[in-house]
Amino acid sequence: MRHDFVDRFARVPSPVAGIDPRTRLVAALTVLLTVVGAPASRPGMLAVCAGFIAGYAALARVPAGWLVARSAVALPFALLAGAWLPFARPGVGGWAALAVLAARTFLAAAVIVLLAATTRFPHLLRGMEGLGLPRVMSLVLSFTYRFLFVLVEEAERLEMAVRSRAPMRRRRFRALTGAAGYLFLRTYERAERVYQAMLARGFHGEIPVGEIPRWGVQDALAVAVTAGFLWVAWRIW
Amino acid sequence: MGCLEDLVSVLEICGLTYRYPDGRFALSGVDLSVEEGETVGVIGANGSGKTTLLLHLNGILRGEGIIRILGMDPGGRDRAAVRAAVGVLFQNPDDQLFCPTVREDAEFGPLNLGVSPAEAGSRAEESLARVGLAGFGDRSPHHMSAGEKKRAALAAILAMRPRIIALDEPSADLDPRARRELVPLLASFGGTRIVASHDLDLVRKLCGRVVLLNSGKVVADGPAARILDNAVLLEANGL
Repeated sequence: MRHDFVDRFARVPSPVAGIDPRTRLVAALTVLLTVVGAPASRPGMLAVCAGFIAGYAALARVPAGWLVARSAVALPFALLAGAWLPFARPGVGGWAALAVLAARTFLAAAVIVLLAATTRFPHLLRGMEGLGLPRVMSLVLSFTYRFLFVLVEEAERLEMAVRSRAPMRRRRFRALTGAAGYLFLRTYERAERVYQAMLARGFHGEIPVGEIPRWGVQDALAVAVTAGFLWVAWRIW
Repeated sequence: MGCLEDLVSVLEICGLTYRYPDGRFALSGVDLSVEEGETVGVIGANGSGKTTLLLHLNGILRGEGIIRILGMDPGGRDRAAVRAAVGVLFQNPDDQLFCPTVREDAEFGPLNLGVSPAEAGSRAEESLARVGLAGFGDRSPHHMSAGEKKRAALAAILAMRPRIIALDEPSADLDPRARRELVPLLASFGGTRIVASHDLDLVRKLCGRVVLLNSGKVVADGPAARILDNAVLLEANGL
């Protein structure tokens, strides 16, 4: 199993490839807050944000179709939540409010997808730590990222074994519940072995930190461009 | 020469016994002495106690008996120094590579030893290059082949610059090509090597001496050729 968008374009050479993860996180958060906070009466703000997102995606060499398809995943939830708007506000107003809600959701999803797809996950964690995320939290995320797919692969192997020996759906369900318990046991055993491997390399209760990256000119430029777009969005549109 | 009398030995084990929590014996009165620069193959069927023995070498498991690594007790106050001196390669690299990137994994050991982040980084790069993984530092282990993961795990150990390397089933899960590439790589490392495996061909290529385990007991200990050519002995001990 491979994940579909985490890290996907992070290794593509591009003008935005060298931006510090802390800069990316702060920029993504501010754009996200602008998208979410844009009043329904000022759709122009959303248009400016869409322009910024599209520009970043183009610079990062993320295909537009790919980005739209991944971001649209959130749309059904927004449409479901806002389905009452056209009825509550008869006329064009209700439909316009629904459109703004859908645009906000789509753009917010696009920001998250872009951040995850163009930043290497370990760098993202480093960035979060740099911005004050407690080390224990980043470690939990780091272990989850490292072992989630190992665990999923183990689960897939167990499921395949169950399917191949239990073609009847009813029996298969019973066997799968047993396999879930077995999977828990395997996970527990793996955790023990991982801990032993950590001890074997001198682990004594504290995870050491490697070299921390430094801010550079590219980051200053990225901050300036983001701030410029947000200024235009809030002041002009 | 008897237990703990050989001062040249880098590794001395005397009467080591270890029981699983359910009371079964994993090791039963194991005596073993390994000298500096020796490459010793520990062979035996599944469940013979090979992995349990290796996990005693750096104090991860503690049984009854005496163990001295470079004159130090791995279960006592010297534990940190012993773990710096003994690098253990686990059978499954997915258990050993727990960081999101290969570089961070290779830096983990040196950083625990107290070296500076810059020095840990340069040791990581150097050991990755040594196992043929230069440029792989930013890769996630999840996106690597079994052979690459095995080499990355080896690099993570070498970055600690251990004097003794203990390898648990180093050729497990490798395809023939990766296995072929692993043999000269392991042979190129200096220092003392202990290779636990039931891959007898690999043991024959790497080791001058072989220790045969069965049900946690040492059944035979001697020159590799003498033990590996004794088909009756191997057959009788599940190999």
